[in-house]
Formats: sequence, C-alpha cells, structure tokens
Amino acid sequence: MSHGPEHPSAGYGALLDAVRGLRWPARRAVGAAPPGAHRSSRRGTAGEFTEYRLYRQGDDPRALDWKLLGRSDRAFIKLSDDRALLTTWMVVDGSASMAFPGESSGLRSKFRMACDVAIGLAAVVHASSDPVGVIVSHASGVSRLPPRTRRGTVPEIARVLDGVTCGGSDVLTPTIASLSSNARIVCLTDCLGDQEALLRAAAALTAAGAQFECVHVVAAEELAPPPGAHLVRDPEFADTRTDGIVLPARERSAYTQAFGAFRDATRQRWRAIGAGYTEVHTNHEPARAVRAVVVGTGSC
Amino acid sequence: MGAAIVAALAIAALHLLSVRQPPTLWLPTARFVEPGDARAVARRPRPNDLLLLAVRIAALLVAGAALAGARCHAGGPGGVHLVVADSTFRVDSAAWWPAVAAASRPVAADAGNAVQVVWSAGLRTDPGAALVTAQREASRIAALDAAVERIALTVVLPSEVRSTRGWQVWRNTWPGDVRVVRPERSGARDVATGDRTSGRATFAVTVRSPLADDPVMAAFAGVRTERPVVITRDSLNGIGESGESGESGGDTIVVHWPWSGAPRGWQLRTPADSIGGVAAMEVALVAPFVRAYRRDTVGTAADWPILWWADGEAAAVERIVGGGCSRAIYLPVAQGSDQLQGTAATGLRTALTAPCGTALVSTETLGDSGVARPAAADQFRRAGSVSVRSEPWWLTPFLLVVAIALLLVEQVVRRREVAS
Repeated sequence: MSHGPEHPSAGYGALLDAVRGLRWPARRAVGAAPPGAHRSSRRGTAGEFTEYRLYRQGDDPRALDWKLLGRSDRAFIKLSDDRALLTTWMVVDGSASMAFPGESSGLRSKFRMACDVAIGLAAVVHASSDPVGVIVSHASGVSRLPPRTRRGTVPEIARVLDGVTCGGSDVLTPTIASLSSNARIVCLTDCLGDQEALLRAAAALTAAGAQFECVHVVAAEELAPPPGAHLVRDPEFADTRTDGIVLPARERSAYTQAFGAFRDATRQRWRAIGAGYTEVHTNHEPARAVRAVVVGTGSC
Repeated sequence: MGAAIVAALAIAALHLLSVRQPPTLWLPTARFVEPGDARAVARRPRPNDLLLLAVRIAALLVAGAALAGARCHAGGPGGVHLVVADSTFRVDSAAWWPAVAAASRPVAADAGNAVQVVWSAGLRTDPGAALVTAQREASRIAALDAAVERIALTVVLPSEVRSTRGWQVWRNTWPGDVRVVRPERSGARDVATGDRTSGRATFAVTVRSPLADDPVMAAFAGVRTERPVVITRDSLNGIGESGESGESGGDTIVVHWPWSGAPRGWQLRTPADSIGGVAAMEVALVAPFVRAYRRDTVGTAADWPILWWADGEAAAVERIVGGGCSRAIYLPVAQGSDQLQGTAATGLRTALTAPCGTALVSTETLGDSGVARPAAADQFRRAGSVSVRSEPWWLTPFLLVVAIALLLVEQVVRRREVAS
C-alpha cells in the first residue's frame, strides 16, 4: 500500500513549510557525540566560557588558563559546555491496526498520520543538522534507513514510509531494543501492540540515556465509532477465527470509558519511565501534531 | 382467497424481522468493547431472503386461488344490464322497448354490458315483484358467470299500479340503483283513471249469447256492477272491439268475448298451443286452454291489458272510448264448462266487470334519480349459493399441483440457505 506521491518531498511541501524554523532541543544533556546543536553532558573547550575549576591530575593541559597561572601561581582550567549532535530515530508502527480507517473510507489512517508526523519531525531534526533515520515495521518485515545528515535525507525517509504496506502485528520491541541508547527515539504507534514489552525496552533505553518520545496515534473513528450496531473485529487478529464483539448502536459509554482509561494509563506509564508522550488524533493537522511533540505538551 | 392474501402479507412482514449479525467493523480498539451477543434482531427496509419469500407467497396465493375456485375467462370482466319488465308488456314490446333502450343507453355504453330482459308477472299489482325477480335473476347470473362484476337494473313499469308497498319493502334488498322506465302510453289511461265511480253495485251484467248453455252467462249470473256491463258473445271473428258495436257509448262497458274465434286484433296462431292458466286481479285461473289466436301487436297503442296468460301474453285488453271503455277477450271456454264459476275465476270476472280504469297508484316516485349505479355482482355471489368449482374443471387440481411444487421448491431453497 503506497501512501504518498511519487516524488515524496513534493507531497509534503505544505507540512515542511509549516514546520520550518522549529527547533527541537534535547530534553537533557546529550552524551559524547560529535559537536552539534544540543547541550552535551561533557565539559569541553568550546568557545563559550562557563567556569574555572582547579586543575586535577588527568585534565587536559590545553585547558589550563596560563595567564591566570602566571598571575596567581594556581592552576585553573577553563570549562565550557560542550555541544553535541543528537541522533534521532523515527520508529514507525506499520502493523495492521495502523491502517485504520481503511482507504475505502476516504479518511486519514493512523499510519498516514504517523508518516506525516515522522516526516515533519525528521525535517525539524534535519534542520538542526542532527542525523535522522527511520525504522518501520510492516507486513513485509522491517524497513530501516540509517541516520544521516546529508541533503535529501527527509525525502528518502518519505520514500521509505510511502513504500510501506501495513500489516502483521506489532514487532517494534526487538527493533527498538537494538538501538543505541545515545539517541533520541521517537516511537509513532497506536500502543495497541505488545505495550508491556515496548515499555520495558523503552525503560531500559531511557535508563541508559536515551531520550524516548512516544507519539500515540489515535484515530478519530476509534474515539467515536460509526453509528449503528456493528460486529467489531480486531484487524491484527483477522486471520484467526475469533468471533466478533457486538458494538451496540446506542449505549457505548462502556467502550468510551474503557478506551479513555487505556489512553490515560498509557500516558502515565510512558511518563513514568521518563519518556515523552504525545497523543495525536488523525483528525488533527500533522503540523500541529509536530509542534505538540516538539514542545512536549502531551497532546495536540 | 382473502385468507391466502392475509397469510402472504404476514409472511412478508415476518421476512422484515430477522435475527442476523450486524455488519462487521474492523476496529483496532475492539478489545475495549464489552462482549455481548453476536446476533441481534434488526429490521431491514427490504425483506430478506427475497427468493424464499417469493416462493412462499406464490405457493400461498396459488393454493388460495385453487381453493377459491379460480376461473379462466376469455374475455375481461363485464357487466349485465338486467331489464325486468311486466309480463303484460311482452305482447307489445314495440311500445316499451324504445323507452328502455333510451333509458339504458348510458349503461349499455359501458363496454361489456349485455342486456338481459326478464319478464315478471304481477308488476301491475305491485312492482316489488320486479325486485324479487331481479334478485333471483342476478344471483343466477352471478353464479353462472364469474366474470360478471356489476349488474345494472332497469324495471319497466306501467305508469300506474295498484300498490307500491311491496316496492318499498323490497327496494333495500337490491344493492344498487334501480332505474324505472315507464312507456309513454298513459294518455288514454289518464282519462280512464278518472272513472272511479264509487257507487253501489246495482247493475246486473248482461250477457248476449246465442248459446243456450253459455258458461259465460252462467259465470256472470248474479254479478253486480257499478256500471252497466254488456258481454257480447259474438261468433264472428273481427267484430269491432271498441266502439264499433255502437254500444260502448255512455256508461256501458262492452266486453267482446266471442264464443268462437277471436276479437279484432287477434291473429291466428299457427300452430295453436296450450297454456296452463290465465290471471287477472292477482287471481289465477288454472286450467288447460288451447290458444288458437294471439294478440296482434299492431295497433295496440291504445290498448291496456287487463288479463294475462300464464306466459305473460295478454288475454284481454281494454280500450278507452269516450267516457267509457270497451274490452275484448280471447278465452276459449268449452261449452258447458264450469271453469268460470269457481273462485279461481273471481279475478277474471272482476277484471271484466270493473269500472274503466281501476283506481291505481302512480309509479312516478319509484326508481332512483340520476345515473343508475350498478350493483356489485359479488354481493349476489355471497348471498346465493355460488359454486366454487373452477372453470375449466382442471384448473383447481392444476393450481394445487403448482402449489405443492412451489412448497417443494421452498424446501430446497430453505435448506440451501441454511447450509450457506
């Protein structure tokens, strides 16, 4: 299932224009990395002076303030905050549930919304000269584009995403577990897969220093299903001969409450592990969702 | 058939109610829906299982048609224009038929209308007899021909009758309008109706007969009348019946009753026939009579029947002459017979000796105004013992076989749908 135009960047022109100028600083200091735009946890010899510190054995002699040593006969070294690059991974869930609502409905699917938000965030990241890559799990397996900073990275990401056909079940966990902890990982998913495993993997990465962002994509039709009685079936279990469940035509408060409780619990659990969480609805503008993720408002 | 239609409608209504599964919705958040019954009663705007429904309805309707006695007709449904006429008019249809034809033209213009004339005796006594006859005839027509849908009724009545009480009683039994036609011939009668002398019966009937033992003379011996009555027993055929004898002037009522042959105006009947009786004044004289003559229909415009054979032919007529009248009768009585002396001949004696023009009631007020509304033939079918046999005879078994075949097809279709 192809979701975008033949020239990827051409179809996202309006989105890229809308997110131009956005900056997405790291939420905390970045570990050792090549010089970049984000504050680094390392103190180095950057041009911007921060403070003096007594020289300790092992410090780089090049950081000594020789003039001060000459005047006061005490050895101080000049410290400055280091700036570092932050590698960003866009991990997009391409499971069967993300294809809802289907193309036949004429509505924007969750996967389409996830792709738009991923491309918008990639453009923001790429504008900061940070390397950005993408990983998509879908019906045919996992597609991966390594993080890059060169020109044309965003269109390449768009091309990868547009060539994806949703299907299968959620296999994000092993993919995420294999990522480096010195990175920002943006997971765009509907959180309907194996969320326990995903949270464990995310918690491990976050504890190791990774900056995890969860973009929870929710379809408007999931919030308010179509009117009338329906026999609902989970698309991720379409192959199994399981009986459906009747969604009544009128009394739907139980469903609404259960789904609302699930989203609240999901938000709390992601934030409990130190990850960012943003709930995005398919009836929202993608640019607005990108700003919500960047700003970290939790929802758009 | 009505029950079959009701059953078919009930089945169609049941097909609108069905227990079925609601449409499937692929919803990723299905896990948040509380489990419930996967089947739900749902009404559909269109009946489901259309083939099954069609087969069931067809089987019911065919079976209903078979049990109701379906009939095949080459032509389409039509109507019958029933004309009930007084049997006294039978002898001079030229006088009343133009009036009937003119009055029934709107009815006859309706496609498929067939005119059927029925004679009824006693309409002069009370026209209610016409309605009774019409009821009987309509039931017979409806039973014989299922294609008849409506029956229009026209009654040909004299301008005056003796009573209309029977008409009022029987009028409500006819489920439609009744058109009444009166032949335009009452001018002379109007004069006669003025002759309603109410006096004492003081005159003896004079019978001039060449016969020694004339039964007529014996019959009228002792009869007293209000007006002088002379009965001439001529033997020559053709002796004037009205005013030609020269005795009919004034108050005298002249009755021409040839003992041999017939009065003027009667034609020789070839061959002669026999009749079982003669009636007058609601009293019938039943006896075997041989009729050698019949009333000539030519030149009878001024005649008024007062005595009828059993088949409706006039046996005696009256003609108004000046202030009185003359009467002519053809009734061959065997010499020496006592047929005319019993009570059965009371009506005959009374009719022949009654004043000119008996006191009568006008029929102007009878009948329905406006265009006659035909009666529905179904009402006669319900009222009468209508046969439910089909036409042709094999139609009922054929339809039953078709119904059984449809039921077998229904079984096959139902099993196939259940299997699917």
